[in-house]
Amino acid sequence: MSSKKLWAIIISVIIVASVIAGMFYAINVSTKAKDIDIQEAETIVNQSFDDMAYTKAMKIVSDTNYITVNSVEYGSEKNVILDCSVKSLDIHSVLSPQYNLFLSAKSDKETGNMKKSSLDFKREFEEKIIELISAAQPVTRNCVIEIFDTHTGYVVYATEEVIDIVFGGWSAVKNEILAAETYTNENGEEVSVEHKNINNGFIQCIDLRYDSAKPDTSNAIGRMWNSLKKDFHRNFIEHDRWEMIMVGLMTTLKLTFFSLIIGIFLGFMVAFVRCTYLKQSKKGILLKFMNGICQVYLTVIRGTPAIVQILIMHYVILLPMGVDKFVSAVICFGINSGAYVAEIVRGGIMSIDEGQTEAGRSLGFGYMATMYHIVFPQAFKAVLPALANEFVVLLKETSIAFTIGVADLMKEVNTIRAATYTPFMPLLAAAVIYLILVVILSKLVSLLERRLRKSER
Amino acid sequence: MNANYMIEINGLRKEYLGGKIVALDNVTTKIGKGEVVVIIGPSGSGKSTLLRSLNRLEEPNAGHIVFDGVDIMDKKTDINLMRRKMGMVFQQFNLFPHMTVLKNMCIAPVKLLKMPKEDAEKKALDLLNRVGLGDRAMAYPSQLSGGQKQRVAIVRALMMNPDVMLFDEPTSALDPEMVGEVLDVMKQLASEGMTMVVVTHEMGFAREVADRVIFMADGAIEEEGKPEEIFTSPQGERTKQFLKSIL
Ligand SMILES: Nc1ncnc2c1ncn2[C@@H]1O[C@H](COP(=O)(O)OP(=O)(O)OP(=O)(O)O)[C@@H](O)[C@H]1O
Ligand SMILES: [Mg+2]
Repeated sequence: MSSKKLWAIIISVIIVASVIAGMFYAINVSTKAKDIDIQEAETIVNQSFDDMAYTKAMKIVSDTNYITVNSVEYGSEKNVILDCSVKSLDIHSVLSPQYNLFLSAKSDKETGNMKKSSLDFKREFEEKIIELISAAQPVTRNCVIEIFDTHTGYVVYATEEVIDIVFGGWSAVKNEILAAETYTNENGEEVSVEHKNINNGFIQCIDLRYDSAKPDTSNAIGRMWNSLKKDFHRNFIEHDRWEMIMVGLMTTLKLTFFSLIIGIFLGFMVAFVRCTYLKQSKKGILLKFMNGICQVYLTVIRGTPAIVQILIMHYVILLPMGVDKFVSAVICFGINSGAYVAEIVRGGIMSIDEGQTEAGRSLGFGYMATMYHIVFPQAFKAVLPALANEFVVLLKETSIAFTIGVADLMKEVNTIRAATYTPFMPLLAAAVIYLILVVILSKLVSLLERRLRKSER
Repeated sequence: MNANYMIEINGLRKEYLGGKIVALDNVTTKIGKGEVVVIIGPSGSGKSTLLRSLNRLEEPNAGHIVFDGVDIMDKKTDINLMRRKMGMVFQQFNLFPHMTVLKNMCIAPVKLLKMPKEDAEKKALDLLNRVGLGDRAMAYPSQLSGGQKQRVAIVRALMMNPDVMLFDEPTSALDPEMVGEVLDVMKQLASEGMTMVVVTHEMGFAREVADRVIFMADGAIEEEGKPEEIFTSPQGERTKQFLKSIL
């Protein structure tokens, strides 16, 4: 082995190794949170629990509670485990006896069968709840609160249990209300809660804003990766959105395939007429007429944008005739690609030596038969790369079919984008899928080409 | 009409470019059954045009060609049927490059004469054996030498059982060492009684095989006769000049 080669290998191994090492380093620089004292920790937890309460009722609870940090312990996930004592209003004990009141307060019967929105219920409950909460007694309980060292500083990770303790039994109240199926009315009868809006209105009075996901303690690269993962999940896994993409892809492939068949057929027909016209010395009236039609066809199709063609074809011509939009798209792209295929094939036919036609004719083949048996096969082979290129163009071109509502790959991707508000992943998916298809198609054609060439050698 | 004639040409005229070029000017001659006619003459004298007019690869402007008793200039004549009976061999071989030698030979009889494929292949192999190419049946034209290609082209034409064979400078595109093998096939064909019209510059072949030599100049037949007459005692001034220049 030459020393040059050896060096190249060594250098590339070093580069690859350092890239991998760098990635590991970047993702996992340190697993230990930076040092924090009890005072700081206390400020952080009090502040962030304050921030969680955003309804009037919960503000009152959070104003009166206080968290004292007793000890600090470092975890292995860049987290700090705080042993705390929490003084808080015991809202569970004041609200729990009142469920009946809340649930029965505005049943269908009493509102005269008028549907009330959860907002209406919220307005009616709020006053009452605030009144009750204000009368609650503070209790002190112990709990363990975790805070995580993230890029934005320390972030509290609040589980339901922690929140329940910090806000004096808040979660318990919420869950009980959500689970309640019946209540006892003034006559002591069990009545079922039919109105979900009662629950929702109640929840809205004592709601909290908090992120139930574990805080992201990774660094820039790690966070980017995590957010990509999240995006990916959201756009493809959630609601089985990948199935939409697959269905769209099938539509795109079908559209391309059928358009292609029409395109090749039309292309060969038009090329045949044009070549016959160009070659023949005596031009009959029929031939002149056909050639004229072909000329107009080629000029119009090649002289106007495909998007204009498909819109006119569908909305002006075919839709009024009741043609389905997929069929519309197939017809439009077939006609469109036919024009390009025709010019390619014409070039191919003209490139075949006149001697081939003469040999065919001298054996007794008619003009058509000579074309069919002798010229077309050779022309087809000669133009295969150009045709393949046209097919690739067509595959990409079909992406404008979504303008008339064909549920192709592009349309599905757009739907996902609109649903998730994240353009990156769905559009990237579209690009990647188109790219893969194009690469595979090109590969197949070059294989076929090589086979054909071998057969001639 | 004389039954002994294969082709009768009468007052044939061919113009190009709307009459600016007169490629054939009042050509009249008869070709007998089993006769081997060699056409010679300087470049541009109309030899190819005459030959190609015989199966109407060129459309003459005036005159008549009667082939086997049928006027092929008649609009009602199906020229494709006539062409089956007239084999043609080109200077550039014109084999079909996308087909094997066997397919090249079989396509016309199978498609046009509805000959069963097996029969056609048997016949093709037989003909190939006779021209020494029995082992090249599955080869593609690009795998053959020039001489081999031209021999295939000849037997391809023979597959249709033609009554006449037309050759347009069949050896002109060949390397000198390959000319012989093609001429040998043509000689054999002549000895089997095939009617042949051959445009060639091979004077040896003309002398040996031809029953008649036609000398053309400026689109007209300047002189015709038995080879020994033309070659040893040419009458016309142009004939003398031409023969002097090529011999
Ligand atoms: N397609 C054409 N268009 C215009 N003129 C042509 C065409 N074909 C032949 N000619 C002219 O007709 C005349 C006869 O041509 P032809 O090919 O028959 O000559 P030739 O005797 O076969 O010559 P060569 O020995 O070079 O093959 C020439 O002047 C030639 O330029
Ligand atoms: Mg010539």
